[in-house]
Amino acid sequence: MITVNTRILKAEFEYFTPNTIKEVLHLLDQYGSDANVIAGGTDLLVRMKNEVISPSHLINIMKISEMSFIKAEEGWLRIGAATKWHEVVEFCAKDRKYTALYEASCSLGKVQVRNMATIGGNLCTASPAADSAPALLVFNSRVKLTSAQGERIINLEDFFKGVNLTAMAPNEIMTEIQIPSINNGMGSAFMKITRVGADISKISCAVALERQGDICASCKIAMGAVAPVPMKIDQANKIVIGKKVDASLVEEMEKKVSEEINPITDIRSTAEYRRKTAAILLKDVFWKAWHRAGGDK
Amino acid sequence: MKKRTFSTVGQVTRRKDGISKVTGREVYSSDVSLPNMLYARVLRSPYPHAKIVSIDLTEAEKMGAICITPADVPKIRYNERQVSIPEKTYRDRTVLPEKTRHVGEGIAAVAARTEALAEKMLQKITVKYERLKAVFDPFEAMKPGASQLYKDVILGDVVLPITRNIACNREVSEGDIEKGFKEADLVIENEFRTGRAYHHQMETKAVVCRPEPDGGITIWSTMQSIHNARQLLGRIFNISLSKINVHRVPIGGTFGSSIQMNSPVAICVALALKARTPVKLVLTREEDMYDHCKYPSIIKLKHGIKRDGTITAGEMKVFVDIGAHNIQAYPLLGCMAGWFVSLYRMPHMRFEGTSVYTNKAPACAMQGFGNPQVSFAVESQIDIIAEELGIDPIEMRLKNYVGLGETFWGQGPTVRSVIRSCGVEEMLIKGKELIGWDKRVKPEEKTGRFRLGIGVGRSFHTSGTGAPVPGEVMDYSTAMVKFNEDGSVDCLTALMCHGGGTLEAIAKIVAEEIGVPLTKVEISPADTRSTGYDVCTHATRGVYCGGASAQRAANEAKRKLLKFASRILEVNPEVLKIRPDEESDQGIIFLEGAKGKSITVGEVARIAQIKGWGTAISVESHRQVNCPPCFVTNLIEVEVDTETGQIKPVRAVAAVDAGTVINPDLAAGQLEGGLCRGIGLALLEDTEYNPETGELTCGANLTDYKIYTSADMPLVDDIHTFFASTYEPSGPMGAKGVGEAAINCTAGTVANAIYNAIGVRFKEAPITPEKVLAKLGEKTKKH
Repeated sequence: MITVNTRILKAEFEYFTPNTIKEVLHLLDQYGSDANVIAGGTDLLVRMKNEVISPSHLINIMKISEMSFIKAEEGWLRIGAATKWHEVVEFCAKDRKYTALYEASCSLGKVQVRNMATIGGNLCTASPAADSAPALLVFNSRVKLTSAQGERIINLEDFFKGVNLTAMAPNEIMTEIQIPSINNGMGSAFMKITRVGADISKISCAVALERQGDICASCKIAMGAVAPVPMKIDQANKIVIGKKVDASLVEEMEKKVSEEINPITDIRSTAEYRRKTAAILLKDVFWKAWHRAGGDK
Repeated sequence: MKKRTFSTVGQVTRRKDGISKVTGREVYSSDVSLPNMLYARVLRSPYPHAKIVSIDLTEAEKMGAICITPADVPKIRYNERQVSIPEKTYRDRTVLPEKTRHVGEGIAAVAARTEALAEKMLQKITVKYERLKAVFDPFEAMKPGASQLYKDVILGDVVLPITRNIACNREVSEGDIEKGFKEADLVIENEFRTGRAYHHQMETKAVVCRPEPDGGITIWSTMQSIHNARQLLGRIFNISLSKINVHRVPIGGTFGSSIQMNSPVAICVALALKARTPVKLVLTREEDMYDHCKYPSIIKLKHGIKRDGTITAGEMKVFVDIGAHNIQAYPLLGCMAGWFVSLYRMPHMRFEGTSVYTNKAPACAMQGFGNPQVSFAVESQIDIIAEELGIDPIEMRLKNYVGLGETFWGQGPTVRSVIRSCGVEEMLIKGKELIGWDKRVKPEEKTGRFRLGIGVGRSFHTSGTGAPVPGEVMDYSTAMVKFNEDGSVDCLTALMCHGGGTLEAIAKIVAEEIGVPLTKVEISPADTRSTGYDVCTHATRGVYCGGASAQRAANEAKRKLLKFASRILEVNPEVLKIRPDEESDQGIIFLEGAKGKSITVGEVARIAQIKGWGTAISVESHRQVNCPPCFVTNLIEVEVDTETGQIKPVRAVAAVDAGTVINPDLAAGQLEGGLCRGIGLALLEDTEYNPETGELTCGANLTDYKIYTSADMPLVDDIHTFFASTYEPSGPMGAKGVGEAAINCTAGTVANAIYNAIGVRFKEAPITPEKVLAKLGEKTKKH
């Protein structure tokens, strides 16, 4: 990478700043995979400077007011895809129910990044380590994809297809994230292990659960940076559902999660370390969520 | 010596350059913009080791590029660092090389109207390489038959053949090492390693060069010594030194990365001379990271000790992987020997150092210059010994440290002086109380997932490189002080401030020496044509050496001023004094006890001018004949998560014996900064190379080269800094240095704290969570 110049954007491209979703869709229909949608740019510009991607058309969606909102209505929390992270943080700080999302949002970069980056951008980059993904996954979130041909809504776990790969067609744009309303009794938490305070995770984990006394009524687990995509953990959680929770049961769950994941060695950590700490992280996050859940006396 | 009381020195004052810095008005090298200026970019080698067969510029020149290749630059071999005497300077590089020795080495450059255009032109250049086998491991590099980076280099003026890629060796011994080990009850041997950290200074290396109509050049650049750049450029480009002007420009941090005249400077000059118009070259972060790193170390350490804790012998063998160029490996090895000898008394000692070329980014001085590496090894070893003997680690240190009245090796075997101020004991005793040392328990008594551990470490750095006998390293400064007609004072020196407030300290020393308010002293802009020689602001010498020359110039200028005053007041100049005066807001000259016999500084300067007596001005060059140790002590508490291997520093005590402290708040800031980078060296920072490609695995960017920030440090209330109450008789106002000392003992202290927490001794830094978990796993298996 020594030949790239990350101080300047060397590549030339045509730049659009549409004011409506309709205009974006028109541009996408016209340019398809030659175009890239840019929101906060905190991931995209780095990739462009490093010449990983060189779009010939860049469509900035930050001027589109209809893409930036947070609304709680009809059983859903709806967040516009171009909503900035600092707004998500502020919302979650007031509405205390989405604790895992709040913790994930707070851990995303530092103030400067959160003032630029958007929730849709974090998902559309489709990094296995995307901080928001595990939190949104445990809440059974779904995303609205829009094209000139219409809209479709898919579950978030079906959105991620691989490293930097999504289910979005070249003429589609993510317009909205939808999170089902949360029962008051739900407890959730998010944690990540990083190299330094402000960093992408070595590994991350979110848990959302409901309790009936000492019984775990429901439990969702999701992890980041343990596979090519942020993933829901589908087996380990079953160990605790419907059971009286104690340390030995959680230990069983820890063992199971190490089997479910498929981490790699990269610049941030090793596969071995990720496998070992996945269990520890799950334990920590699970108990945090457990104590937060309403069943606690 | 009795401590003096001061009116300005030691006070917390507002920094003179504070407003321009916080408002973004300060002009750094990368901000310099000149009419008709072109922007340069450098074509860099993608290969770690390759002969350059040909460079085709046709397409780039068609686009209007001004290009330089190895064929266009002077063939002279130079060393970018000009601090050692010529006979001890190893010269192995040219402005552009005919053979590339590391990925990222510049091999051609272009200048164009914009940076983006220059970047495009670069891509039109075709280079034919003949790839050579690369070596990345120093031990592999020393094997017979290994690929050779150099056939020969120049030492002084002599051609020196290079064999087995060994850049240089150094052996030092005193006493009879075998006898020393025989006298010992116990011999302890260990190997320690530290990483190739990157300087990570805020501002990347930058330079602007303007060719002058008279054949000269003017330079603005990130550098710690403007005079060395002038001398080097004069030699390389055969320009008279009186036609080269290098400006001092505020710099966005260095950590040692600009002690030498960095590679972009000569490239930019060559381009500007060819283009006949100003050229600017600012490195990207990626380029900067391929330009330099800290000297890594492999240290084999052997101590002989008696049962009572007396050290009878010490032997240190050091291997340093210096990368593709020898910038200052020879003085480094000498210093490492000096650091080793001056930490603890050893009647018999031996040092053997080997520096080895590899196909990696060249290593250069970085805060501590081999001392954090040596102290990591020695301070770990002292704890190992103390435990073996059942002696308290602090007692062990108090028993053996080199202190008052003893010979100090300073910057190596040729730089020796006697220690005349020492706060080692004071800092250890006070630090012990502050951290709660007596409550510290052994690791085996600790249980649970999160374990706390307290470690101690101590070290020092030299204040400059002066010595009674001039050695292998040059060391002197020059300063000019003059009085203005309104009572203000100008101080001109080529000294550099790297951000730590060195020039602020100079202003305070001058104000104190003369007796005027600090607000009346300003540090003038400096360039090489208007200042006397100053070796470099390195080696923690700014205040101690640079300050001493400013103090002398101030004293002499004051003497002249008082002579003028004595003519006006009609008294003997010897009895006149100057003190800051609130009413006139300047210095007032007075005769003690005699009312009416007083006059302001400004009035004297004004009358002297009107009457044609002259200006009260003085220029002094001064070499310090000592380089007193500024001792440093850390006590750090860490919390180790035994399940994830994560280590968190939770409390820290950092103390320095800097003699009189000139800028207390800035000195405390230095201690905190040293703590932060030192913890990084212990736990986090290193650059690794892909052995297939020779590229940095972190991609040479800050996304994946991490340093700790305030977010990773103990809370402000849990960091305690303090200063030993000492006075250095040879220092300006009793001052010694601080800068590099701040980091020197931190990594060793952290390793000791980790041991106290979990009972595992780590001898290789950085101690990452991955390594901690692996070691803890081994430990459980054994039990």
